Amino acid sequence: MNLWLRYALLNLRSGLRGFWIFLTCLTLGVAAIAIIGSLGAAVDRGLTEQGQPLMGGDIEFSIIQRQATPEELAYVKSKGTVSEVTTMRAMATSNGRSTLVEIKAADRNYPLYGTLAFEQPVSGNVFDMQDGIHGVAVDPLLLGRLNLKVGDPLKIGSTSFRIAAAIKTEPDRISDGIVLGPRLLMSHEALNTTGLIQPGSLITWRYRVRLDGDTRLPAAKAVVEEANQKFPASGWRVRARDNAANGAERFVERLQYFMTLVSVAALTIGGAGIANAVAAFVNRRLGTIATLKCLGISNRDVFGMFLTEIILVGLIGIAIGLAAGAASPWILSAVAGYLLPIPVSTRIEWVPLAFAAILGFIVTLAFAIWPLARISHVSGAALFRTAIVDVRGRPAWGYIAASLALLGMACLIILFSFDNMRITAMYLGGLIGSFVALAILAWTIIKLASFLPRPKNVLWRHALTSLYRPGATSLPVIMALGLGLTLFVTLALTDQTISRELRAGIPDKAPAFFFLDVRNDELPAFKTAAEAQQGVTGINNAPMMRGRIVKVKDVAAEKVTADPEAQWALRGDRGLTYAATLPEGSKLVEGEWWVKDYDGPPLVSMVDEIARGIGVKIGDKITVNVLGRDVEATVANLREVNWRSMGINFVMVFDPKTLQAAPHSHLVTVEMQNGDEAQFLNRMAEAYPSVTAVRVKDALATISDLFSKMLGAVRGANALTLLTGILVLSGALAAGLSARSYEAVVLKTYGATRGQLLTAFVIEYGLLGLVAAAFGLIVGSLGAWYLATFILELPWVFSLPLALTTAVMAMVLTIGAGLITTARALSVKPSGYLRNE
Amino acid sequence: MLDFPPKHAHLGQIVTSPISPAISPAITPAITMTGVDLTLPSRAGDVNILKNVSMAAYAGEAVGIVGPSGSGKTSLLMVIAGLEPVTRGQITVAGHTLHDKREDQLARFRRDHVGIVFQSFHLIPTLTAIENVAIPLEFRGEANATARAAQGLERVGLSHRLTHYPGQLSGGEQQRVAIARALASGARILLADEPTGNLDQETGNAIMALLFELKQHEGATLLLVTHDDRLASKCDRIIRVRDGHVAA
Repeated sequence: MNLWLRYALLNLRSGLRGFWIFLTCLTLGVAAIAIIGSLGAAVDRGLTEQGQPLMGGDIEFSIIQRQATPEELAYVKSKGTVSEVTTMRAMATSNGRSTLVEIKAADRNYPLYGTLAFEQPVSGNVFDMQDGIHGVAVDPLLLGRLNLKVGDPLKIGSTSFRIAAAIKTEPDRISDGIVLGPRLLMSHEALNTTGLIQPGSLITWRYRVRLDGDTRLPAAKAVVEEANQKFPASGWRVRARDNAANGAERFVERLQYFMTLVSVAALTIGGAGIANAVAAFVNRRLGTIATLKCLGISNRDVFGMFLTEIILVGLIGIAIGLAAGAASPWILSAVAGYLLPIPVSTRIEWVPLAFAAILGFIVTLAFAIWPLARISHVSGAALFRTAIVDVRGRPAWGYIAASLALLGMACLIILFSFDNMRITAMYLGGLIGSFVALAILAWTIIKLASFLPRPKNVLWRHALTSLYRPGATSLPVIMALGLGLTLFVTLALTDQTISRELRAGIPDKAPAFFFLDVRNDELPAFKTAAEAQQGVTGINNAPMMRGRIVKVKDVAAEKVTADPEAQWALRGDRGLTYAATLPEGSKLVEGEWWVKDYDGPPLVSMVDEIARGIGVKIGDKITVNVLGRDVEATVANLREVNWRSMGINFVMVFDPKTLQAAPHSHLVTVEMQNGDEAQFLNRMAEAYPSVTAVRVKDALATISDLFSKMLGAVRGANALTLLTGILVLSGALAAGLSARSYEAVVLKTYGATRGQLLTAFVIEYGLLGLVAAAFGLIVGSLGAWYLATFILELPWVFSLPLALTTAVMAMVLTIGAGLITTARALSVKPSGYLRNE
Repeated sequence: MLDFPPKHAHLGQIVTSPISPAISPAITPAITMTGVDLTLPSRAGDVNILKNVSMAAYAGEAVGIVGPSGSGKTSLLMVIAGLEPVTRGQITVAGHTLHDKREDQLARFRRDHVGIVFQSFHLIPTLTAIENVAIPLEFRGEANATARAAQGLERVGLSHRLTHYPGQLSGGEQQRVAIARALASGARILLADEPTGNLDQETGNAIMALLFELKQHEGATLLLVTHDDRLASKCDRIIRVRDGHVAA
C-alpha cells in the first residue's frame, strides 16, 4: 500500500476527533448541492418519463387563434393517431354566480396516454348528450365555488350544460402551464354550441399525436424538427414529450439554479471552515510533523501523508453528503410526493451526485492545501524548543498556485454547468471578490490596530493588542464572521424579497379585472355597461391578438442568442396589439412614434429591455407570425413599460394599419374602488357570456401559490447554508478562543479575574464583530440585490432595520456562544493546566 | 572514512576540549564544525546563538555537551542534525557537508545517518511503538521495516510492547522506543538532548546505560546534551558551551 495512505489510515485509527467541524462543513455543502441537483434531476426525469401522459401524446402541435389548415392536419395525421384538444378560458355561470373556468374540449381519442378518472363511477361517455344537453366534467373546485353538485346545470357562454362528473385525475393537466381557474372538460361538439369560438378569440388548438411505430423520444424529436422545417410559416408550436410540463421545467430549473448557487456559497463558506479546521489540525500535529522531520522524512512525504489523511476524512464527508443527495428523491416522494403537482422519479441521479462530489473534492483540496502547506514551515528544530512555534506565513508559490488552480477549476465547472454563464460568472466573481475584500479588510484592521495608541484601560489595552500580537487569530475570525454575517444578511434580505412579493398584493392603480375576448362589435356596449356598474373608476382597452416572433433580423427565433431576461419573449405566443398613439403608461425612450394616420410598411414598437435582450435596435426587422401569416415589421421605436403596474402592457405594439384588419378581440381592464367585485363579475358574465373575466386577485393568488412553494424550497436551502455558516463561525471562534485559554489561565494565576478576562474577550471580539458586521451589512445587501435582480428576477427589497438586526443579532449570538465556551474553559483550575504544561 | 573508537577515550575521562587532543589529525572525524555562526532573527532583532564554533567528534566517541541554559547547547545539536541552517561556517557530518544541502536532501541525510533522542521523547501519539520505530525505515523504502523495528524494540527490551501506543507506555518505555527509533535505521551519529530530563533518576540511569551500550554496540558517535555533570562524566570528553562559544 502507498505509504502516504498507510500512515494516513494509521493516524485515523484513533477516530475522527477534531474533524467534526471540517466534516460537517463539507458534508452540509456537498449535501446541499447533491440534494438540490438530485431533486431537480428527479423532477426532470419524472417529467420526461411521464411525458406521454403529461402531454397527452408523443408530440403536440399547438396553434393559437386558428385551427390547423388541411395540409397541416394531413401532415399531423400522417404521423399516427391524433387527438384534438381545444383549450380556452371562459366564464361558467350558475345560480347567479360566475367564475372563470379553463375549458378543455377533447375528441373521443382523448387521452391518448394515461387515464381520465372521475370521482364517482360513471356509465357511458360523460360528454354525451342527455335530453338534448351536453355533459361536462368539472374540477371539484368549481363545484365548491359555485355551490354545485354533479347533475346540476351550468351555463358556459350562452349554452347550458349538465355536470356529468367531477374530475379526479386529468393526466395532461400540467401541460397547460399556469391555470387561473378550475378545469371544465367537454366535447368539441359541446364547445361549438357555446358561441365562444369567434375570430380573434384566445383559443388554443392542440393536436396530440401517438406516433405509429417508434414512439421513443428521439423519433418524436425528429418529427418535431421535420415539422418545423416543413411548415416554417405555420407559426405552430411543436413539442415532444420531454417538454411536456409547459413552464414547470423552467420554474424548477430557475429554482434549482438559485438554490444551487446558494449551496455553492454554503460550500465555499464551508471551505473557510475547512481551512480553519485544517489549520487547527496542523497545529495539533505540530509535534508529530516536527518529529517526522527529525526522522528524516521529507517535506513532500509529510505533506503527502497529511493531505492523504485530510482527503480520507473529506471523502467520508463527501460520501455522507452524496448519500443524502441520493436518498432525497425517495424521501421527497415518500414525504411529499402526493402534494406535488409534478412527478418525481425515484432513482439515483448520478450526474448531480458527480457534480456535488467533484465540487466537494476540489473545494476540500483547495482550502486544505493552503493551511497544510504550512507543514513546510515546521522545523524539526521545534522539538528542541518550548517557545510558541509560529507556523504562519505565506505558503510556497507552488501551493498557492495549486489552490488557485483548483478554485479556478471549480469555477469553470460551475460556470459550464448552467446555461447562464454571464450571471453565474458575476455570482462567482462576487463570491471571490467578497473573500478577497474581506481578507484585505482584516489585514488592514490588524495593521491599523498595531499603530493605534495603547489605551490606558488595561482591559481595552489587552483586547487591542490581542488583535495583532503573535499567535493572534484575528484574521480567520474576521474572515469567518464576515463571510457568515454576509451570508446571513443576504439570505434574510432575499427571504424578505420573496415574502414581500408574496404579500405585495395589488398595486394601487391596478385593475380589478381583465376581460378577454371582447369582440369588436360589442366593445362600446360592453364599456358602457361596465361604466354603469357601482364602484367602477376606470376602463381601458386595447385590441389584442396572439402572435409569435419567428425571425429576428432574418435569424430564426430559436437560433437567436438572447439574454436570459429576454428569452421569454421568444418563447411561444405573445399578446400583440396596435395603437395609433403611444399607449398610456409607456414612455418612449428611443425613436419616434408613428404619425396618427401612418400608411406605410409595417412598423413595430418594442419594449426597450426586450429589444436589447434579443439584440434588436431601431431599424432592424422582426418577423411575427399572426394567425398563420408572417408579418415582417421594422422596429420604429423603443418603449419603457412598468410591468408591475398591471396595466395593459404589450411587448410589441404595431402600427394600426398592419393589424387592424386581422380578426381580433379586445382586452379590457376595469378599475374599481369600493365596489362589489363578485356582483360586478356576475352581472357582466350574465350580460356578456362569451367574454372571459380574469379577476386580478385570483390570478395573483395563483402566482402567490407558486411563490410560496418557491419560498419553502429556498428556505430549505437557506437553512442548510445558515447551518454551515454557524458552524464555520463557531469553529473559528472556538479555535481562536482555545488558542488563548493557556494565556487566560496564566493571567488567572497572576490574579486576573474571570470577569476581567471575559470583558477583554468581549471587547476584542466585539471589535472584530463590528468590523465583520459592517462588511456583512454592505456586501450582504449587494448579494441580496444580485440574487433578486438577476436570478429571482424580482424587485429588490432593502430594509436597513432587517439587515442591521440580522448582522448585529448574528454577531451577538455567535460571539455570545463563543464566550459561553470560553467562560467554561476559564472555570478550569489553572493548577492542572499548568502542571500538564 | 575511519571508523573506530578513539583509543584514548574511556568512560570517566573528562576532556574539555572541542577537538580531542589525543586524536591524530590524520583521522577523519565523524563530525566537524569550522567557524560556525548561527544567528536567528527575532522580533527584537537578530540573536547570535552560536559564535565562531569549531569542534570535532570522532566515530565511536561519546561527547558530553554542557553549559548553562541559553548557552547554545541545543542549537549545536540542531545545526549538526541539519535542522537549523548555519549563518556562516562549515559542518561535515558522516562525510556529508550540510551547508550546501537543500531541505529535502537534509531530510534524507538525517534519515540515513542521524538518530535523535529528545527529552520529551516525541513519539507520534497515533502510532504504536513498532510503527513509531518503523516509520523512518518505511520512508527509506526498506522492505522489512516492521521486522527491523521489532528487532530494535527487542534490543531495548520492549518486545512485549510492540503494539502499545505511546500513551499506554511509561516515560522510560517511551524513551526506549525513541532510542530504538533513533538507532533503527543504522544511524552512526546519535544526538541526545537531555534524554533523562523527564525521567526519575533510576529510570534515567537505566536509559543512559542502554544508550551507552547501544552506542558501543553500533559503534556510533554520541553527542549528549545535559545539565547533569554526573551524566556528562560518563562521556569520553566534554565540550562546554557558554554564550554561543565553545570553551577551549
